[in-house]
Amino acid sequence: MSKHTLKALTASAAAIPAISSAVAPDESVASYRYNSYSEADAPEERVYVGSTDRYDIAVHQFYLLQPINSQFVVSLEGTYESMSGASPMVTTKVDGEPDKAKMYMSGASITEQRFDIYGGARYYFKSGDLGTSIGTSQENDYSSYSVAVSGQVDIFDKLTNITGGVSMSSDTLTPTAISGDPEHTNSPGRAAAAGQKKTSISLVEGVTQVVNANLIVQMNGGITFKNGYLSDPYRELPGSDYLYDVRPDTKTMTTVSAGMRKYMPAQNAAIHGDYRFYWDTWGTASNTIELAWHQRFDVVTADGAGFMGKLETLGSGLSVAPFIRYYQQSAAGFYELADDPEVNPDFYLNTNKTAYSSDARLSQFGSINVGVRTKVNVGDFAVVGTVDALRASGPLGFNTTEEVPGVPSYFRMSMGIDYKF
Amino acid sequence: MFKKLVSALLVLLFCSGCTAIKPWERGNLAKEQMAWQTDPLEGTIREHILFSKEGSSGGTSAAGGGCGCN
Repeated sequence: MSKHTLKALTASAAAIPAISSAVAPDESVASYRYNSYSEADAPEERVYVGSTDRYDIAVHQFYLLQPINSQFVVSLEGTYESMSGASPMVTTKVDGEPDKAKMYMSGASITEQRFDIYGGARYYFKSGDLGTSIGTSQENDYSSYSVAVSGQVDIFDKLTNITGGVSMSSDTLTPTAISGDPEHTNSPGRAAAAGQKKTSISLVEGVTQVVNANLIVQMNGGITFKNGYLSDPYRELPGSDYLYDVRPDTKTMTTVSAGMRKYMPAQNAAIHGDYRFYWDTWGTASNTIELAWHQRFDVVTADGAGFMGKLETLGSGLSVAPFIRYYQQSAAGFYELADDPEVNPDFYLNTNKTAYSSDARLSQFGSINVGVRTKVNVGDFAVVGTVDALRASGPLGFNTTEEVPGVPSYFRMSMGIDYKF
Repeated sequence: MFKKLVSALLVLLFCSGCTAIKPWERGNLAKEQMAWQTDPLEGTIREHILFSKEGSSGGTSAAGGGCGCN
């Protein structure tokens, strides 16, 4: 099954300090993370047939940042995933039970892999920088190639920072065949998607402003244009002539977001607040708000003596950052739950429908995501860990009682190391 | 003239109410706790997970892209 993301501009922009990013890093950094991700099983009473085991994924991440000189930096980031599990093929209404939904699930998949790799280069000027990155993501049924350019400039005595970037990607779908049906003869959704392509172009612009010695704010705007085969080949009932997932072949996605970082000197901590409003031409709109408290405990001694004094000299300490994120979205205009096709197939025999999907990701739902990030650093070494849990449901999406069993809750645990040299 | 007008508008937009912060007063802003993204790899994996679950994406400093996730 496909599990893919396109990462374009993040490598250069992600680790920047709030004050200004137009300063070239002067140290090399090597990082590794191991993530264990597990989705909650689908509720048995909401499954007609198929496996209730949702995805379990092991993710290895690598990162290397290497300054070439005082103005030029290169970076490399990669991911390797190993995953198995089942996903919904079609979701329907439940006869006589309003607000309920029930799924035809796929069988549990064999273990599959995905890897991606992104290389970047960035040149730093006196009051700005300009960088580029290229990358690819590969798996057995999906491949993607991308390129991005981004830059920024500091103005007004470096109190204001303006960023901008553009990225492009080209993806190709090669859906996995059902056993014994390599030509997708009995799976029209897969047949329609085989060899299809889609392209994406994204533009982002942002302004960051220092307000005072302890407060900085940011506003961003972004727009993404997608074009090509945007339907999901696996949202079908194999072996049937039923209607399968059919989505418009264009999509324009727009975002406006704002963020703030407030330093609390008495606590040696910072409050993070971020909000995003999103809307697209498929009819989905969403709100996302995230709050975090980044607490730092530095090793401090009275006289700098002994073992603790050595740790203090090395700049050692502990960081703890709990966070909470709330997300809610409205449904796409063509999201629809029909009757169970085994009971009433009329809806699925309507071949004139130009757009239809029962994919829960296009439904109205909401989620709450909480977690804690920790980091212990001693000198040039740091050990980091994260726990992260998400619960999703229809009613969390605000003003609805419809259940959405297709959006699973998950738990993730991450451990890793950073080394500066 | 045009450049002066644009500069004046930018100052009004972003600097009204701001204090003049000298370089030596910016130490707190440069602390690790104040970073927009404190851990690039954590940002990558989280973006990937949420991207595969939700009907919307983008809006951060990163540009998103297509996905065939199930």
